[in-house]
Amino acid sequence: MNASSRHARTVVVPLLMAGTLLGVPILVSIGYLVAGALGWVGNTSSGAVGRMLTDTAVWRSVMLSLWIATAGTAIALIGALMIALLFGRDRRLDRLAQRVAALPLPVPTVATAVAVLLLLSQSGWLSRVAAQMHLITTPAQFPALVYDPWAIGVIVAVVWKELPFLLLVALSLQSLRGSALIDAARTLGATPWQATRTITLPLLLRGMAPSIVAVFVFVLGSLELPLVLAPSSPLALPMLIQERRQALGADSHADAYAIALIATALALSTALLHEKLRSDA
Amino acid sequence: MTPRRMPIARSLLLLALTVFALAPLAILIATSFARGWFYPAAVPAGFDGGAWHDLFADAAHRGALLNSLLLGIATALTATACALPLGRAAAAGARPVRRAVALLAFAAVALPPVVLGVGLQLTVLSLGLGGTLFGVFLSHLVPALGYLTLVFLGVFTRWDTRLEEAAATLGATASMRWRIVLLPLLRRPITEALALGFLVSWAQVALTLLVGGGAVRTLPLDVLAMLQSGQDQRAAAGALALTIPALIVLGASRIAARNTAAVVA
Repeated sequence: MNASSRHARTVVVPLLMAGTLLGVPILVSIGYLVAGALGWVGNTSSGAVGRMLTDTAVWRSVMLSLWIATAGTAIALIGALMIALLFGRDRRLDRLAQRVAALPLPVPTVATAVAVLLLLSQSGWLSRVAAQMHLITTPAQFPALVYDPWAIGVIVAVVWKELPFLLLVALSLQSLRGSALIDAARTLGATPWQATRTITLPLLLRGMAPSIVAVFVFVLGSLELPLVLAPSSPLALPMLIQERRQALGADSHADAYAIALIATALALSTALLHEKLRSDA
Repeated sequence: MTPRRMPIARSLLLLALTVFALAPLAILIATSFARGWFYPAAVPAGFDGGAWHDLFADAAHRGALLNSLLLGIATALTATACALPLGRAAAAGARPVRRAVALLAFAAVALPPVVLGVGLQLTVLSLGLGGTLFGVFLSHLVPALGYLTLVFLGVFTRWDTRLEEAAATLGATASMRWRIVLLPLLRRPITEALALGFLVSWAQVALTLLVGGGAVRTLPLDVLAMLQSGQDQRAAAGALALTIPALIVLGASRIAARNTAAVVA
């Protein structure tokens, strides 16, 4: 194989394929967003970017979406690490715990949202149990766990859906890395907690970093969970885009494109962070 | 922290984990089969299959289910057929090429579907495909291709090419090497990729909503509509109808993967 055909096989072909299959739709989408935000296409007005960057409703939406993604990812991560550390071996009880924890993995997000609503809403099952126990007498007395300002319902749904994924990553990392380092530390006098704190957890967190970022960015852009469970004021960022897109008027459409550009910047900066962590891991 | 020294903590955590994992599924099953379940009753007065019957007796819901299945199958097949050669070509490339492809693939996954949908909506409209099943299929392909490219990039980065080289030395043509060596070895990742591609499309809401423009109905959209109109029982049945094929696809891919483990390992 001569140098030019090798160059074609190893550089030109993959870049051409990736560019056509992935780059074109992404760039065209972002190009349309920019054009729409600037009022060039799609019956939009100009000046939306400046308007949206100074709109407090947009920044409240950004903060709510960041809160949901951060809290949901952090709680799912803590749960996954606890289960991996306590049930990470290959014994009967451990395997049972791993299988139970993995159950929500294939459940679609919409189904998760429906289930959490039926459990946590003010007329949901927990509220009914509270009524049966005479803790409340009307649904309104049950604390608002969905449509609430802290988005508790969304966060519960995120944890239920994402914990199994992070757990699978943690377990596969544990099985790949083995116990040689832990055994060495224990031989040198480290207590079990010291070995966990200084060896197991840092190694797990380093290996899991790309997956943690992936979960964060998935939650940040999820429409289904906020649509069913989140408060209507402020709206989560994907819902705000959807709301402005559906509203009538050139200004609203341009606003939707400008907000989508803000969401794109958030997602792409996270993608760059993911790529850096992936190459460092 | 050794598990052996924490039997009580382990038992309590396992109990909590079981309740946490099963409660949402249990409430979906109970609600979908409940008859006369009014507040503040904690259990239904009885059970029947009324919500399930209503769900499948409605021709519009059956159409939505068929659309979801068609989109899932077409997306899985097309995305796998495109991502496999792409992942292979990228893995054979230099490190900067691999990184560029991985970054593009992750961008397709990381971009919020609403953002991708808003952009793709205008593209699809300009192609005259707005509100069509084909337009929605094209939009589902973008995130599915992103996921599957990452899968095949991972597979081929660790790929041992010596078997292919041996086959070539023995006179096998490129198509023979694909048919006799590569495809049998790739059965497991291909099966998993098909399952993942199907699931990405099967659960998709934002792209269908925006690109389909309300004209293309799928099961997830119908479930949301039922929920928003207060039909909790039908929504629970619909949510389970969404979950069962996902479980079957994942289970089938795991069985297929287990059956081919000896070949690939």
